[in-house]
Amino acid sequence: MSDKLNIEQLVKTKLGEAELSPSPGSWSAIQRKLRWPQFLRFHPARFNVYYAGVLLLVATGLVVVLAGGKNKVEPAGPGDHTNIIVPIEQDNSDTKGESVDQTGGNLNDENVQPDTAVSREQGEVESASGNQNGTSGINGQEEKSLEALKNTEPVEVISPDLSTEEVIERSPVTNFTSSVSTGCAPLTVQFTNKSVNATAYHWDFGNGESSREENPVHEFREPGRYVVTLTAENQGGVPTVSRMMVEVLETPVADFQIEEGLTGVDNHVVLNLVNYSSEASAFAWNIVDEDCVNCNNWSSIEHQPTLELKTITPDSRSVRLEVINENGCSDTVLQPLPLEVQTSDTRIKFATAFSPNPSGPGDGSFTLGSKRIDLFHPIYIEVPVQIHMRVYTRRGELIFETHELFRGWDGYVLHEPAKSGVYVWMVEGKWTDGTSFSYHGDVTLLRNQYF
Amino acid sequence: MKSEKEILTGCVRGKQSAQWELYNRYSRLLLAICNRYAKSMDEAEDILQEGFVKIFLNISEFKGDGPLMAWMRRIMINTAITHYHKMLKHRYHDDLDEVSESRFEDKDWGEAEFTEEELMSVIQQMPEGYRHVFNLYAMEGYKHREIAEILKIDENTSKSQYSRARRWLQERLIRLKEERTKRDE
Repeated sequence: MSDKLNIEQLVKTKLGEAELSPSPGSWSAIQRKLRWPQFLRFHPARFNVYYAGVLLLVATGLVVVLAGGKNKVEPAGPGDHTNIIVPIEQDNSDTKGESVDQTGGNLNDENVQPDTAVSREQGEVESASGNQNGTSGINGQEEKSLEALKNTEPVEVISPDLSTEEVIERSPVTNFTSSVSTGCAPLTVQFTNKSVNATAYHWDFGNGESSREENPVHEFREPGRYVVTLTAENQGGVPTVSRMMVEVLETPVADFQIEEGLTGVDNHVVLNLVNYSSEASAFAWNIVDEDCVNCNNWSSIEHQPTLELKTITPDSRSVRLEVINENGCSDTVLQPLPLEVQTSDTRIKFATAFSPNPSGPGDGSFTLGSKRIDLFHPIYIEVPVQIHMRVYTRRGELIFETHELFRGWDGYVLHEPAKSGVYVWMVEGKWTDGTSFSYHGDVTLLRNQYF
Repeated sequence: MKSEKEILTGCVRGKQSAQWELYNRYSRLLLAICNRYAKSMDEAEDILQEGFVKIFLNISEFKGDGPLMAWMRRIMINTAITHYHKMLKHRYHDDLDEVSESRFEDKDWGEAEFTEEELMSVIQQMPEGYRHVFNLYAMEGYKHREIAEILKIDENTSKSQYSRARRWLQERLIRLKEERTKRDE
């Protein structure tokens, strides 16, 4: 136990991970508070106000159809809207008079005069939205503006007590939401302006950058906590401000290189994956194949794994490293496996390494479209009419030569296995159009237990 | 045991069982956080309930690109601060409770000197202006500029409140120790 804590460290170590059990009533209180807001929000999987609205419409329609048999239905004029609203206000003196947009709109569109039973039902919906006060919204500003929004809109219809707050009525109501509030750097955030009554906006992203767009998209490149401030203005009112915190978490950087090396055990060639990643706490390595990602079985979570050549199949294209840090932020990088070179001509390419069949020499033949790991041969994208391939040791001794189009070197010299190492090759030939080509390079012979 | 992902999907669908799982898993940690911002356990529970309502209503906004706990924690802190601003109007202001300036300098503390409960109750007794600045700065790692914006106070006020909060806290802890030795004698 340390005796050298300052006051911050003391409080943090003692209370940082502290837990407290909520009282048994807490859960049911939350559910009680959730019931109306959840009902008022649209969700396809839940019964909510929109479904209730649809039911109401169907019921209204039915009533109209039934009543229509006896009485002629008069098309509703503009005055009928007040006919719908006013009795409700009288019947339910405790409601604030705000109506749920969609329900109310739908009812008006129907152009019918609902009977009293229906209008009472609507009144219940309205008082429900009154109960919603102060329970929705991700931050305080949103709540306040929601309340203000409710207070300003129906002012012309009723609520004489609200007319005293004339300035508030004329001032814009600032409010906005963001697509995300926490995320990994660089974090792109779409801000959605929900301000009412405003004509001009100013956004301060808290990182020295700003915007005058209505719904800006902003990229936070550096990790940190930013207070985003929206100021909304209009003519005649006082500018109002709304704030929100955006937290940008640090993202690790994935980086590595593939280096050829030898194992200490039996001196065969392996690929060392040298890790240069920063700010990462966990690593996941994979081999990525040509057509499918992760279809190769090899994977590792070591910091610097070694890749055995036998795990590389002819389809293997690159090694992928995904790193992650404590924030849950990740980064991925791909490095191609250094196994073949494209020549300047896209019609032919060559492998940079091959691994002969240890069980003995073969006839060296291959087929078009194949890429053999146990042979050194040209990889044809287009088949030439003539070829002349020669392989030399590094000291310049010719050890293999062929004029056959589909024959490669199997790694044997006079039925004896050639040593591991680098060999130099030269290939000359002619394409069908009559042009000739000449390439040279080197190839590494890797002798290990590949098969 | 359900995975966090399953719980999240359930919560987005508004499933009560998933909401319960989330609540059951995190409410204790979150209540301890709320408690640091509240004057009493009752107020802390109010904040917790309000915060969970927000969490459940806005869970679809959580994109999963950061840790869930960090997201919920921030909602709780936002709720606590909103709560504080709302209550400010109705509440007796005790922030003027001054601290004697000269009694001691910064001190080192032993981890075992106080229990969790003792520290918690001392923090709860802290004048509110101090407490929020102290929580946001020392516990959450916000900067004074950010605290000033969150609490709608001046940046310098945040700094001076913070140093007063430290002094207040240390003085209380010294007093607590003195009382304890007196009792033991």
